[in-house]
Amino acid sequence: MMTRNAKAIPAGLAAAALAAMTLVQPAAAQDQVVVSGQVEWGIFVDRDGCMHWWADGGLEGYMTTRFNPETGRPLCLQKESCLTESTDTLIHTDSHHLKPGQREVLERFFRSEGAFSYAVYGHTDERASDAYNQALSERRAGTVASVARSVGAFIEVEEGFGETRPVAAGHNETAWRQNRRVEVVCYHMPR
Amino acid sequence: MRIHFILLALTPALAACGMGQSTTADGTRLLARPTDSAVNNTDLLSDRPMSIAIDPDGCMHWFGDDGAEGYANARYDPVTGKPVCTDRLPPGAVIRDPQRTGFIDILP
Repeated sequence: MMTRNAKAIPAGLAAAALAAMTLVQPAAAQDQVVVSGQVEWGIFVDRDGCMHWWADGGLEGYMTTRFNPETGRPLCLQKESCLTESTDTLIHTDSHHLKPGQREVLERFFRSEGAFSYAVYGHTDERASDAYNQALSERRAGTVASVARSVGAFIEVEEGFGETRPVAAGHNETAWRQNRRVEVVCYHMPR
Repeated sequence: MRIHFILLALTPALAACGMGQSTTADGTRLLARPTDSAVNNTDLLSDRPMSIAIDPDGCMHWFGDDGAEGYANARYDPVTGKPVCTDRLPPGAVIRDPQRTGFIDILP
């Protein structure tokens, strides 16, 4: 049976190629790694604030996602998280019902934003149980999403994160106030 | 017109022959760099925005034609990192002209 190396490159060519390339000396139990060239990656930031690596290779182009190596999620600047509203302003405590006048504020926002579609995310602070907070954040996202739908906005995603995604660290009222919130992402289309 | 087009298309290749292969400081072959080699020197952050293309599953991708080369990569929700998908546009649809340069580019 042929080895993969022998099948891929004829011996003469392989020798010539190796001579022209930087050879990374392998340890005994490793694959042999040959650096054949280099790419100078540039950053492209899309209008949602997410980053992509790109490079022009002459007649062809390359593009791939910039990931957070720890979480595996795309790396985004959150430039266009277009509304973050404190639930203290928006909604009664321990409830998903809007305070007086807040429906009109939200309606105005969705009418003037005019995005192709939206995502609505609910978050709570860390007090009370995980299950309670999960359910409360879902109901609050639902409240905001239904106001959006009532003025013709299209909601692509509606999700509650409970207390799992705080923006402020700390276990005090200052942190909690920032963490209980509803976030709206606007999916605009290029014009 | 056709010759003009072919010449334009070959410009990067001809330029590469004339100038030789680009290398990095330590002599390694440079395969790609973040500047447009084909037509002008714009990069993907220039004023012209990228288009959106819908894949067969309904998910969105940033999509741009920079002259000789094309680029595409997934659109992500900046809060969750999940793909952005819709059932309101047909698969294959492209929103906005993806051509970002004046380069003559037709699909025969």
